[in-house]
Amino acid sequence: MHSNDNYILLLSKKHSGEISPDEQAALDEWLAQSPEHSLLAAQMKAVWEQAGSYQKEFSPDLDAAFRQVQDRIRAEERPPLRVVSLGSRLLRIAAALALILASVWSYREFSAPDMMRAVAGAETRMLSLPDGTDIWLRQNAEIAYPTHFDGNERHVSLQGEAYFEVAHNPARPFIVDLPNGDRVKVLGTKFGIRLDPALNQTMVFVRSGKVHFSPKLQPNGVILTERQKAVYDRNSTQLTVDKYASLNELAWQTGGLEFVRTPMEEVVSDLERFYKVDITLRNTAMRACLHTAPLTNQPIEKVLESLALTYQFRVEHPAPGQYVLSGGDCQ
Amino acid sequence: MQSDPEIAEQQWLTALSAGDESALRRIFDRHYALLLGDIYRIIPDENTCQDLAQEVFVELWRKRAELDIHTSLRAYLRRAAVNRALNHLKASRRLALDESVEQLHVADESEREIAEKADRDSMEKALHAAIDALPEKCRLVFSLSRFEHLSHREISEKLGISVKTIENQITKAMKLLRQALARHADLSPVVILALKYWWGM
Repeated sequence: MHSNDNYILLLSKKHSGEISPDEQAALDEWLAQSPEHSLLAAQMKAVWEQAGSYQKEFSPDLDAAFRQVQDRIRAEERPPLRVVSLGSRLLRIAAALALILASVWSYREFSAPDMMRAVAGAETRMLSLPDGTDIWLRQNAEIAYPTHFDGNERHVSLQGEAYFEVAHNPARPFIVDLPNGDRVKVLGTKFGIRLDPALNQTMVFVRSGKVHFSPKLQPNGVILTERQKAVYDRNSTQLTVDKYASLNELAWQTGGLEFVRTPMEEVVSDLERFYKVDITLRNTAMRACLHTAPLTNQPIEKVLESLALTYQFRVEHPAPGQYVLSGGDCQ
Repeated sequence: MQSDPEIAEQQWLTALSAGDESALRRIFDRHYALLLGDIYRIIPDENTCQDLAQEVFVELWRKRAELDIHTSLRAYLRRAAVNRALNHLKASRRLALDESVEQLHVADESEREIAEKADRDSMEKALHAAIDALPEKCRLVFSLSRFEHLSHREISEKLGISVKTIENQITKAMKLLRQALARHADLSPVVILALKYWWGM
């Protein structure tokens, strides 16, 4: 009765990009059978494509709507009233508990915590601190941290390069002490620190959240937020901030490269750095072309192949470790 | 480089995380109407759309200190709105677990209905009216596939309905929409021939 239903489904799958090779073959065969099938396919394509612009336009009263949002926020922030009645028995238990807690606290407060030391050898090493903070140490990096965190601040000290995902705790800031008295202070966030002894530089890169980086000789320091990078040059005591640093500053930790509306010029330099190759982008018009791709660590040949497919680049490989991209169309 | 609006949004988010309510207002002004449109594609009821879209901003405020947005703000809010809409549908049990394979024959009545709703100005308008006229579940499944780019399997998981039912609904939606389009274009043999070349098939 509805013999074409199955093919209508296959056409929908084709448009939504989930058709399998077998299904595609069956569809091709059916299309070749009759011009009516091709017409049906053309109509389905038109339906799919024209539906794409469907979006009902709203022009709401923004003032009124925002007041409703505010009302909801106020209602949520007002804590509900609770009536608490404690029996005398419960009170006695609470008092005993308080006494125990107080003695634990004083023990912790007055006995200095033991310091632990972790060193990464030839490979990246990950460790978790008692407060839930995760740290990835890059080759040869070293970190010292207490067995438990006391007082109002969480202190660790770092040599080398590391990436931090700090457990959020506004009451106890997390502080990374660096050699030379420089420090990085955060509440809860994801960021990387690289100490480069050869250049005598320190780099701080923030993936998310907020970080206060204060070199000893620049006590006011600088506050960095998502995707910002600061470089402190100890020779010149210059502190420079890059407000839109590459996402891939931390590629050693994520294990690959990702791009979100990244200009091709920057894509190429990230690829060069990560794969340690040399890439020439011939067509200057392509430099600003914005590229988006999920995290990948495929071989460089594969990465270039898919760039070539997307943007119609011609790829040449004149010598080992050297690639030339020419042509290209940034539609 | 990022465009100016994106830079502004970065700054708003920074201010928001510091507890600045005027930043929330700026984000709200730019995104509220768009979110209404996003939710409407899933739940075509304006009151529900307003309710759910406002909740998205209440949540943005609640989570302001630990926001971790890796996409554009637009994509983040849209995803939040769609998830909210789907949870709403689940909670209100509007999606009966209807596993029966539905009769795919299209009744004359709904054809007429669609044709009447169809705006004569343009094919696109006619098609959009036809989307609104689709049966409720059919419209929902089609929207999630077409606009939210979810696979049939993902839709099945999100709605708790079998893949087979999803596929039936998609097929049904495509057939109904094609009819609306065909009716609108009043396909004569000449038009059919033109269409064939126009759409390159």
